[in-house]
Amino acid sequence: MKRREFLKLSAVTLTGAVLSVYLPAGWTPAKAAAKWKVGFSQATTLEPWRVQFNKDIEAEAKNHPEVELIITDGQDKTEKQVADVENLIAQQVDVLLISPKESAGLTGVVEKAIDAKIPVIVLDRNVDTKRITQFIGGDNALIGKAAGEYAVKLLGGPGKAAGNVVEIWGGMGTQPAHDRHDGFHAFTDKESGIKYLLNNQSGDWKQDKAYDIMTTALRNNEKIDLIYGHNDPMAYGAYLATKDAGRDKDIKFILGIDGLPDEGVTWVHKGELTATFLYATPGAEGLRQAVKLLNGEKIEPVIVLPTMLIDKNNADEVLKKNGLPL
Amino acid sequence: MIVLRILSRTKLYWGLAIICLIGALASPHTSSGRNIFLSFNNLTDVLRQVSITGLVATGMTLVILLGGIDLSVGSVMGFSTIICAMLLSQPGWTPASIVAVPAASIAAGLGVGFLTRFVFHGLARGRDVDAGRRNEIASGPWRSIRIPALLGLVCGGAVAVATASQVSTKFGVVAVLLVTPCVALALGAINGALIVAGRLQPFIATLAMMVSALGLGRLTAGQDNAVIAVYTGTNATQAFEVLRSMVWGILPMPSVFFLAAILIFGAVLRFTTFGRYIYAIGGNPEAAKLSGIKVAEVQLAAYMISGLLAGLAGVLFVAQYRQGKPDAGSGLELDAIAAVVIGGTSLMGGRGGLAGTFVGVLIFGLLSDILQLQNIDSNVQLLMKGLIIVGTVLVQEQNLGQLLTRWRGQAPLPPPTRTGSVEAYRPPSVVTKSAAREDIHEAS
Amino acid sequence: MGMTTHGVSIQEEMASTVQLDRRSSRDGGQPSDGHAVVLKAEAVSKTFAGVTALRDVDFDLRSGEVHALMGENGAGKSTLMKILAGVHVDYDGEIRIEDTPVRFSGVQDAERAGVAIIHQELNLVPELTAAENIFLGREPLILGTLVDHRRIVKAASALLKRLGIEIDAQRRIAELRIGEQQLVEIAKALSLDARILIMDEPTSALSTAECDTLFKVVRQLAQAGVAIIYTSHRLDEVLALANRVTVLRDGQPVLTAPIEGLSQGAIISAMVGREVTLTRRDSVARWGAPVLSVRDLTLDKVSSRGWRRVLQGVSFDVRPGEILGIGGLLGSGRTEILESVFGVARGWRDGEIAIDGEAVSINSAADACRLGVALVTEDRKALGLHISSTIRDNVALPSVGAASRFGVRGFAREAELATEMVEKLAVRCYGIDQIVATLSGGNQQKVAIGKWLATAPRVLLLDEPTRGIDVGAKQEIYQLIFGLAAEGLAIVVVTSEMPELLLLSDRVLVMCEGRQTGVLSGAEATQEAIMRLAAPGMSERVAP
Repeated sequence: MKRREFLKLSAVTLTGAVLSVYLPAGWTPAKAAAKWKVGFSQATTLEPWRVQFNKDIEAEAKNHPEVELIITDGQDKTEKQVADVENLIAQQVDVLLISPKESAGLTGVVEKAIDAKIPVIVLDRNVDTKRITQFIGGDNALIGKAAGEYAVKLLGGPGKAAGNVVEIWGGMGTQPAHDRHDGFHAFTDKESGIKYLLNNQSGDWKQDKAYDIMTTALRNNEKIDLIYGHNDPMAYGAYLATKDAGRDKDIKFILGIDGLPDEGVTWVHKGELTATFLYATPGAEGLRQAVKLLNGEKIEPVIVLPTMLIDKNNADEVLKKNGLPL
Repeated sequence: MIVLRILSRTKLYWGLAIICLIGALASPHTSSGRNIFLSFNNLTDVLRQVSITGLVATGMTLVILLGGIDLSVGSVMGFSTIICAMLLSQPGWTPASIVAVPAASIAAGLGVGFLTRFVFHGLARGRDVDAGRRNEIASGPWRSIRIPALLGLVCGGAVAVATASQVSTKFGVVAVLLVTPCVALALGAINGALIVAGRLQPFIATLAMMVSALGLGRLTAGQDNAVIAVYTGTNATQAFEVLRSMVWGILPMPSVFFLAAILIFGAVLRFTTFGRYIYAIGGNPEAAKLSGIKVAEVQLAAYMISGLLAGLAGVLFVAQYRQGKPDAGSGLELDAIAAVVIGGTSLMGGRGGLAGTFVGVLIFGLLSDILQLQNIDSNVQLLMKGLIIVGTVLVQEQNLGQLLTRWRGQAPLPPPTRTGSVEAYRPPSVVTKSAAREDIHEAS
Repeated sequence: MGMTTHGVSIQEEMASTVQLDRRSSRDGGQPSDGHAVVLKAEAVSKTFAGVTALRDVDFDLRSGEVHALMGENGAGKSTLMKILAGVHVDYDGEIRIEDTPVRFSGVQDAERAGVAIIHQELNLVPELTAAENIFLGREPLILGTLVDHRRIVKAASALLKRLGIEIDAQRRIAELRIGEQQLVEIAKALSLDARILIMDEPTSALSTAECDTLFKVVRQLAQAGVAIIYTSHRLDEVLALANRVTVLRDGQPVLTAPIEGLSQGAIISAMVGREVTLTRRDSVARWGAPVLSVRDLTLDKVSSRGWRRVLQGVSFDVRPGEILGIGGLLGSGRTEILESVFGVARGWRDGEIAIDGEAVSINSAADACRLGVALVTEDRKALGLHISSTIRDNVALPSVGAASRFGVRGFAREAELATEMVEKLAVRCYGIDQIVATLSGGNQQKVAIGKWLATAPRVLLLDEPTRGIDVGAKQEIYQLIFGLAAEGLAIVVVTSEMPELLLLSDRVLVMCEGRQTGVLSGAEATQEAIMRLAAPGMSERVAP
């Protein structure tokens, strides 16, 4: 008897203690005066890019006081994200924004939302149905091509490019990784002088995994000219590996994608990465489009966010624009 | 055959030797003809890479020997990376320091208290049992509870003061090395408390902690951060680099920690009463309890050690990869369990040891290295690792003799009996000559 | 009365038998000569890995007789029974059933020929019910695929009822006591319609009431013409139940005779090969102040129906050098008394315990050990020992702390303790590094006792110290206990075997349904007196 009481008491105190430390930090009560409810289902918040994504959409929401924004976190699990969307449907949101973890698994629940007369705007990665209202995202294939073109230029120009390239994939099950890969190869495969050293090594978008892959690659190969990471954290992880091995001066170029001001751009500014390509977060734009839709305006079915090459020439401007120290 | 028996007993080391051989033979070469696999850089890299898993596997070995399991080590390690990274890079009362200071003092207090109890356990005994016994009864409460508690409180208080004073500035290397594992130790203590006092199954309790620690990690990191970057020299002390360096030019620093852990806890398991109790409890928990062993304390201590080592692994992670993130340890618990099992420790508890874990960790690391050097697809690598685990365990669970006997086509062995007394029939092949005599006395 | 054919099942036969009482059972209504020989073994031999278990054994069995097979552990009884039942298929010699030579290829083959064996180790699945176990592997099917549970339960209940076994067929084996489990095992074998039944130590875990049920069943079967081979270490049972006795020693039969005219002493001598006496020790008068005093011990346990009072107001003293026996029926709380004193009783405990006159609180085995109280549990293989560890590890375990220095183990001292105990208790082994599982039952028990002796206890609590141990080894244990008492240990013994209880105890504390019904000493402690105090339903009880 006594043990149960003790356990209950300690469980309650412990929970209370924990919550009292953490709750005041990130919890705000819902706004009562909102006219519209907009639900946003995010795939995961474990990547810096997605954190930025959420930050952008929340900042944009402050510009629209008549909108109540509900954000859910799928915690990188398809089932959880499906459950989140169903929850939002039950809450009868006026518009659903979703950045799916993967296409196939989320298509069903998106269609369910559409059947419930909720317009759906898909961000960043697409789903497999044409009935959605709008898709906003960067064109990963385009970015890949831009990166490929740039790489060819760095390695000697079209027709004459030569060098050893290490490519570190993002998560192999995701469309963006494949698009970035295919786009890159569309240009570089044409050059006979370019050799790929690694065979389908995936860093899963993570800095530490890319670090380990690069360490082995460095051991295996004496001459490496260019590193292409599918995102900035992986490119940076590769950079750290070269620095630790003392060979950062040997590697001529390191390319990444994302272009977040406090990460990729900072690293380019510091000279650690050669260049990065902006992969803008569609969050703010998505919310703006949603508001337009709710106000009765017509919106386009597809908005492609442009990309931009950020190298040491324009890195400073980007930093200044975002208010970051130089 | 005698040869088979020797082979059986050392089969783990043979496995390691075979893998090294395969690695050396299949290794690519540099342009100057040097064998890459056997090169100094490669081997030290492997050593460094396995150290983090190895530290966790050491703690896991203790827990598994006890008959339990700790599924939370991955998340606890991830949480520690957040704590470490935050303490290093952000001054003031951040969520990390709010958690760290009390946790560190509690952990230090608990740790010292437990250590005192175990070390001074048999103090009042000795040859004269009756006198020792009277002494025991007289000094009982003092020696077993009050002194450890007092020492624990003093220590805890000292740690609290020391860490609180550090909060206003960013933490230094030594501070972070001491505080972070303590936080993880506190989490391990919660695991232990749930298992001992709450009578929860270890699987369930540590599973709950695994999920909670992940959440805790993300909450501590805050909404705005997925990872906490550590730039030594800019936002953190340059001295932190020492945890990534090479000691005496030969050993990577992480592996020094790993080797030290193996040696220290190996000695504990072999030479101390605590180690003996762990084996006894793992072998037969009821019998151990009835033999006068304080099972609850030993279990609590083991889970605390597991947490401690996970915390240490977290600090080393931050040093290596320059970031702390909540999911840094995802999948780590399974790697650790795999290494422990490959090393010959039985999941039922009571059998095995750290020598096996050491070899298991190395086998895993070398295997990954060989596959990576061969440039094998990531997914194929995962598949191969799974096959290796199954293969090694199969070979282990039966000793070689039994395996060969089965294949040579002898009569199938009768099934083991289940309820009631266990005067079981034992097949002739595993019974030696003299033991057979006793066996006959039993079987007839 | 001849053999029943397979058309008529044994159960139906038994339904019409008459209740027989214990005294006249020996003649069973029919003389054992004049019955057809139903099984004959000639020159049967078997060796295991170079050691001969049976050597040229001739054995015959008549229908309708209860033939007791006796011998020390290692004499070959189990081997012979297993050969007859088809467990061992590889042996020399010939076996004939009703004059037809047979050689079984396995247990199922033997079962088909009508030979069933009930092992000492129970072959029941704990998670299934009694009914399911009885029909395991032979379940009646609906439409050839689905198991017909209702028929199973009905048939099993009917069977148990006809055998007079009061167990609910739908209870899980895991919930039954060992004694009840054994009865289910017997019912299972009987449901196979065997005409030759082999029972290997069926009563080792049974209470007196359960034994009576078993004997009734055995006699009914014998009446119905079933031939029964029966092994037991309890001589009084054998004398009461059997028609003929065969004694094996070292793999050979040394005595085969009808039971009339055989005395206990003769049988034991045949088994052991030398003269044996069973005497109570001389009563010792001066003992001194009590070392263990228990006052008003009360224990409540949680059960599915709420709290249950298991012990009520138990009080007693034990003096150094005294042996206190605790008697009573199974379930009367005897083991719980020992567990309470040792601090491992599950439940809510109340009352006072004092060592050397000073009140102490004992809440764990560690506490008890510290205070000099030792408990040798009933189930040595599961709870008393680490069965797959060495003798040295087992004996030293409770003393690891005492032998250590600042937390570091004292290996030398541990080995010393182990060697001392092995010598003192005469454990037959080839060294302290032998694995305990390979020792015989008697030697295992000695190791279990030695483990506690190494802690130099003041009070030794023994729970069923000679369970599953053969006669020769039992003698050694008795001598050991007497010796320990002479050295000044206070000993409390719980045992279900009346002769043992009477032999060992200086005083007997009798328990009945959790209450202490009396303490008998000296001449008052007779079997009748104890049984009377142990039987429930007598309302005038005065707790001393």
